[in-house]
Amino acid sequence: MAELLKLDKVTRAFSDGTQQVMALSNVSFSVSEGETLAIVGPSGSGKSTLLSILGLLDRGYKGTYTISDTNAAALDNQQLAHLRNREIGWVFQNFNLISHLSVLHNVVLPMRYNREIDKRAYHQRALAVLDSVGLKDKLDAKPSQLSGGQQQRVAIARALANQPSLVLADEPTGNLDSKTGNMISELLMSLAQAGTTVIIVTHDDKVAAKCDTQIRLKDGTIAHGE
Amino acid sequence: MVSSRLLFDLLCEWNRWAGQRGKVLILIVGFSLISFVFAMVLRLGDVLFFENPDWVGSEADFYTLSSVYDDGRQAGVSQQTIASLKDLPYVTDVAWLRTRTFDFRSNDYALYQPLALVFEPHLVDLLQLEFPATDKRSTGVWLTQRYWREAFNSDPEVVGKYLTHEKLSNSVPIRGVLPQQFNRIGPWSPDILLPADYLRYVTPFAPSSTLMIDRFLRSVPEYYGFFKTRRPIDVERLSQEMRNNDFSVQGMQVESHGGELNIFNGIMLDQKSATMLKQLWTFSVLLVIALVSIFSLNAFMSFSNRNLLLADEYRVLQTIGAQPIDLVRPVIVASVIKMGIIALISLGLNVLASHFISMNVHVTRLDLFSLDGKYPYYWALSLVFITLIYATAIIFPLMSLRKKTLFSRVMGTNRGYKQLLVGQGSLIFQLSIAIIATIAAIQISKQQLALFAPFNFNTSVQQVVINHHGGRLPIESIEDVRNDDTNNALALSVAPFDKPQTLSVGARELGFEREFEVHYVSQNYFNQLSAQVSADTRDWKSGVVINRTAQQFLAENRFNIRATPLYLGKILGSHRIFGVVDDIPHGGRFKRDQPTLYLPLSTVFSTPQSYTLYLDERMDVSSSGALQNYLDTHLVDAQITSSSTLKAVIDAQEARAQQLFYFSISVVIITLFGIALTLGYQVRSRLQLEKADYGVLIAIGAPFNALLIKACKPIAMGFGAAVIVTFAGYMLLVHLGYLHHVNLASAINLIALVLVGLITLSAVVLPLLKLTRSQVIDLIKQE
Repeated sequence: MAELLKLDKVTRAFSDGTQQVMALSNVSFSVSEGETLAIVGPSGSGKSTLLSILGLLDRGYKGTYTISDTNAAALDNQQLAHLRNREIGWVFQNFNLISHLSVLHNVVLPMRYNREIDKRAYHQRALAVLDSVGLKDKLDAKPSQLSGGQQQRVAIARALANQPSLVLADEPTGNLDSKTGNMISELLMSLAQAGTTVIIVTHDDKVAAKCDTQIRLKDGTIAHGE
Repeated sequence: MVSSRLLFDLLCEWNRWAGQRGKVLILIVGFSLISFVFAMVLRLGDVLFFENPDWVGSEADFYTLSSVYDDGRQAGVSQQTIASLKDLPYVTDVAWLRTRTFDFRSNDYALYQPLALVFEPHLVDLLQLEFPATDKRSTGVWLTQRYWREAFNSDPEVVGKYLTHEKLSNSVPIRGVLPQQFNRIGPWSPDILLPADYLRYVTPFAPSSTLMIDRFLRSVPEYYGFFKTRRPIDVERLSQEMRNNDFSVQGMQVESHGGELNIFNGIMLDQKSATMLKQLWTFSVLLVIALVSIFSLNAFMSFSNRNLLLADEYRVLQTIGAQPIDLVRPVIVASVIKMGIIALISLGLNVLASHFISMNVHVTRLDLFSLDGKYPYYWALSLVFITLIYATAIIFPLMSLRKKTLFSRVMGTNRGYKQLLVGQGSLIFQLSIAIIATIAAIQISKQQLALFAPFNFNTSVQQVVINHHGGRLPIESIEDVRNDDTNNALALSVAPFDKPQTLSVGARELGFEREFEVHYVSQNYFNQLSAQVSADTRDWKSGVVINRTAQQFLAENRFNIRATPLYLGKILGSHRIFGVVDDIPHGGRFKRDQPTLYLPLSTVFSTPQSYTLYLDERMDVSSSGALQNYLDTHLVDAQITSSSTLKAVIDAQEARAQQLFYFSISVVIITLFGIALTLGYQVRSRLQLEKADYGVLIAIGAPFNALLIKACKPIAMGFGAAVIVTFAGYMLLVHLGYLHHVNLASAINLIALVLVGLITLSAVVLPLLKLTRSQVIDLIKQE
């Protein structure tokens, strides 16, 4: 399988004004298309920092990050936003749905920022992804009217709206009960079978075990790779 | 589903303002008010400081030479005085005009003593007056459009017809009808415009006495001079220099009217109206400053709070690929629509205000806010001004969003130090305005209560206004004219009951100066009105009678009314105080506490143009032979122009005052309501931002009192600061001399503070109660 992304000696340091904290240090790995990767590690190990770099939200790192053969460091903010919109789908622990919009509108949202999609196709495409997560009957519901599992499924549907090549999930089961969490992790794994690369940051060993690869972070460095 | 980007943007904006839409409405109304008042300020400023009157065609800078009375009324000067301007090296051009009635007659139309504006022919060139048939400007008469409509029934064939005058051997041709702007010139509504040559025929001298006529015309102080200069001049200095010169005409002794020579910047014929307009302008400027401060701070706070609440949403949108423009576009689209609504409301306010002004206030420029004049430019300018303020209020809080990191698990936001500071400043400002508005509302309401006060004089007395064309009533014999039925004597005054003259009483060296109303009345005036006077007015031959308000004012200024004569200016001189009369509400009971002076008729300096008689209600004026005989004996062509009871006169005054009262009280109530609402919204959004803190406090068992203290603390501090700011402002105004005396601990102030305090408290308690009724878990839960 072709390589989707590659990190080469990525280092990220933060300063609190008095001293520098090394969040990531010389992290290198690559991920192929359709692969599932779990990033695990204790709190403060640099998982979130790594995820934000992978998701093109953080540009303050050193080293090289290549995604879809593009060096992320060479992109300006507009190009980064463009790439995030087309290539990356996000699934958050807190779901982060827009509370005043309906399920349908939440799912359509990434399409609205994608000028390549015809407006007339919004409804059809949204219906298709909502069908794939089993929420076709909740189109007009507001997020507050849904359970946690349903909200996370809407978030996955939103992440898939632009058919990205990479889905990043930040503790996607952290706020869910084990049964619902299991269902969500299965859903994420099924995306990989359809060719989408999935990277999951998780504390849940069961979720990590389902992934093709695991990266364990400790004090900002890769402690163990499988 | 909404596919259109525009509609989706609007849907999002509509949803994002949920719970704050009332505040958006207030902001829209507030900015509309700013736009309307600001446009008015610009237009009025233009008229007052830069523009020549609409009847003047030239845009050059002119000066006006006239004289001015102590009460601000203008009067003319002699031609001799105006001619002296030509000797000044920097004066390039001089011309004059004056008013006079001319007894023109017509075979076809009934004309009655038309009021003529007499002009020196050169005036047409100097001021570039828009005259029809200007090639024949030294003979003939021009009709104003109003007079042509009223007296000539808009006869289209009127030009070329002739008018006659008993002192003119030749008929005078009608040259044309003047444009509409000549209907009102300064304080006058002239009927005709007439070249200066015709003045020669209406002097007291025979047409053959050329020399005497010239001298007479040169010496009568009836002319208003206009002049241009090579360079700007110091009007005060030139006025002073000219006052020191003697402009009398040799061999001609003409009575002076007592005004002081004065040069004004610009074309100035109605200084009193100009002063009123200046006051309106100053008030409007202050209003704009207050409104801009209140609403821009409010807008800033609203957008700032909104962005804090929406920070997470914006972060999510950026994460899923929204470009900055995608975040800003909905705000811009909604703002454009809001601006459209603001423009429409401000235009509507203009139409309403123009209607109100034309109904209630006498202004010389009725086209002031006309939509086909200059107003639309200023209106557009005011909209640009509003857009800038609004854009600033939107952009700054948006810029702060750029500093936030895009990836964070911690949702929810806190206010920065600057936002807290602006919020507190806005709160203090709004509460100060609320306190001032409440004090004003209570004071106006107190005035309204005066309407229920009983009259302390006989309101059934009949007032009859007599106009005449010459002669003077012998005051001493007025009391001989008695009512046929009641045998009561008649009383007399120079001006009608409700139209007094005004006079500035006091001087800087005395430590006080205030406008007093002045009535020239006959000895039995108070008796006829059954008003209580402290002295027996049967002996009143000299001295001044003052009312209770004047007495109180003088006493407050440590003026010894028993020992010290009251100085009433150069013309009237000093007068001892003869007695004190109960306040008579000449201007209606709203204006009861107006300091007023009553002077005996013998002190009237010039011949009165009209008289007002006061007689018993039952007396029929038209059938009173004694009265008719008395008038016909002493006056030329005496005519009764109006007759009504004093009750009717006061009712008319009070009806007008009542309209103004309702207008002011509505403004005050809207202001208070608006401030109460914005305060409520401000507190609500503050609680919304801090709801997790309140949730935690409730979860750990904090009582309602503790929550109330937490919510009230910043508001109470703001209220305390607002009280200090308001009263410090009062003290400053007293110190600067804009206010007389302020009792900070007065009942009105205390009631106002309690009212505003209660409004403020309810603005905190109500949203807090709503918050405490929510599920604790919902408060703590981060969205």
